[in-house]
Amino acid sequence: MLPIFAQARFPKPEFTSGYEYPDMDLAYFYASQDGLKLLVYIGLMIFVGFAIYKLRSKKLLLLASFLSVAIIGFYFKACPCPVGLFQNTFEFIFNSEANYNIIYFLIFALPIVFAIFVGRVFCGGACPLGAFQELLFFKELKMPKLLDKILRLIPYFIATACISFAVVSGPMIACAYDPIVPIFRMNAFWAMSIVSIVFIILCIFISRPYCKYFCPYSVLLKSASYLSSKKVEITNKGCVSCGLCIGSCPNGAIIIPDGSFANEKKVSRIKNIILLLPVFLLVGMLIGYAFGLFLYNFHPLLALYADLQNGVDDFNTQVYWQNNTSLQYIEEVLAVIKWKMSLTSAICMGIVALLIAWDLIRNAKKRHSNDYEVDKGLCYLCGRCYSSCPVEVDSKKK
Amino acid sequence: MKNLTRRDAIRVGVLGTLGLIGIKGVSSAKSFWQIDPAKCVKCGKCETDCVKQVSAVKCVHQYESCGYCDFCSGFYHEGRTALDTSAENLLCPRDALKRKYIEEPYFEYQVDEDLCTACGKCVKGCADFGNGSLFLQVSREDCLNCNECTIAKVCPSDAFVRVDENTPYIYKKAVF
Repeated sequence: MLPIFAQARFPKPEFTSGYEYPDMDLAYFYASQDGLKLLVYIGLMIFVGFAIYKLRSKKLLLLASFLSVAIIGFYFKACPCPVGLFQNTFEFIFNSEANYNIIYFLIFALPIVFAIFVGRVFCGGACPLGAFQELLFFKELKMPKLLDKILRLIPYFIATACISFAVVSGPMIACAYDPIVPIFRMNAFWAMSIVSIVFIILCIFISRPYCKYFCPYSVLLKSASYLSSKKVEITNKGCVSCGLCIGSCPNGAIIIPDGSFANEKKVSRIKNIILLLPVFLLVGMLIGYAFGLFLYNFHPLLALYADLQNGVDDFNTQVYWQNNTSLQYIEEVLAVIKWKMSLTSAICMGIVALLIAWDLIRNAKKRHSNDYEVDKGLCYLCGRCYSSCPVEVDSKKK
Repeated sequence: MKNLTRRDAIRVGVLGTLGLIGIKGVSSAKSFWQIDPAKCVKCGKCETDCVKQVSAVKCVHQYESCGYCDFCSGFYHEGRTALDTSAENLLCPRDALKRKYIEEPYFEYQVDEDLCTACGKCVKGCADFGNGSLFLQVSREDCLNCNECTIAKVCPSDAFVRVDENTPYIYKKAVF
């Protein structure tokens, strides 16, 4: 069982026939396609930007989605994708040993850079996961509004979990529990393949369930896209306030003008929210702390600890007992992991609470426009509202 | 206009934060999974736990450390009936370890990487009784360099380490 080093039990042979040692160097061949993948991502994002803002064409957007699923999804097996790199990036920030390079960074960062200038063009058709759901979506079943709002909080928890595990170099949960990637790779284990099949059925009736209710990366993109100076203009000529676009948006991104520009009630609501900010922060951090302790229960090292305590005799415990004489070492390691995870989770959830407060303030702010407009953060640039606007349809006919 | 400047300030903040991570990212060399032969305990999980159907881990022979013996504990298994190359006497289940006559009394042992599935039987045999010249390495040609190596997750001795991509192998030190 001891790791055995090379040792001279048998003497070096003395060859008389002029024998020479063969070359033992192993094959070193590796053609990295990461640069190519980066170019495909950038190309698709620019293409989506043109299709949605300049050409206003739903068909071209579907083409972009198709290309993304075909090339990045099925050909490149959707790896590396920014959703997975979300966790890698945070792991790299806290642990310089992690596998990371400049191309990974660009794949992670460029969608955010695009988002702060031109909106979520990445989600619109460059992301293979989003594109896959976009192509499957067929018939919308209305979600109850309250349920929708509650489910939209899940990405914050998933993002927090990703960062908490990243800080301790734990398991890559963003990759491992992605329901769409196993379809591209056809390699899911049984439980995950059931989840994937259920998910495909959900995709037909709910628009982009993964993007809306699970994607950890969407937390960054959603916040970043509010800085964008471009957004989807539902009509190309001027809104006549007919309200026909409301039904066309499956993501609930269209803001209905309520006619009240700056009423007293809204102003006082903003005041209240700002006064309550410390409470938001505190509650968020408390929830985060509890969530971090909950996540700690899933750390893989705990299984080894339980085995050691129960005296299980297998490879893992034998190797542990070779290097250590007591349980003290693993207990120290676990204690560090525990406080790191709960602290990270508390900080993340504190930030999330501020983001939610910001959301509430923005919703309560007075609006200068009386037109139907899209909410930049919720819009996935699918282009469905274009064809629902009678003004736009009319102008295209001419 | 006032609104625009505030937005621009936040944009600069976001870009600056990303830039800091980017500067850190430029300096990091891409890394690659590799087995540290000094830590490996030859448990055989490399064969069964790789995401690839035939594991990306291969057995490597360091000829300089080999004794070139006629009787090789990495070549014959313990229940052998005779010291010949008939299949029932050989340790390797896939005939990946080839034996070649050099001169009296020396034999060269060579690993056929296409047949090797990294079960580690020969590595264990060689290390237990011989010079330990056979060892396991992740083949740069075959490994997908997964985000989270599935073998590393189950490796009992944490033998999987990240190495620089440009020097992807950890060779054993020659014993002579």
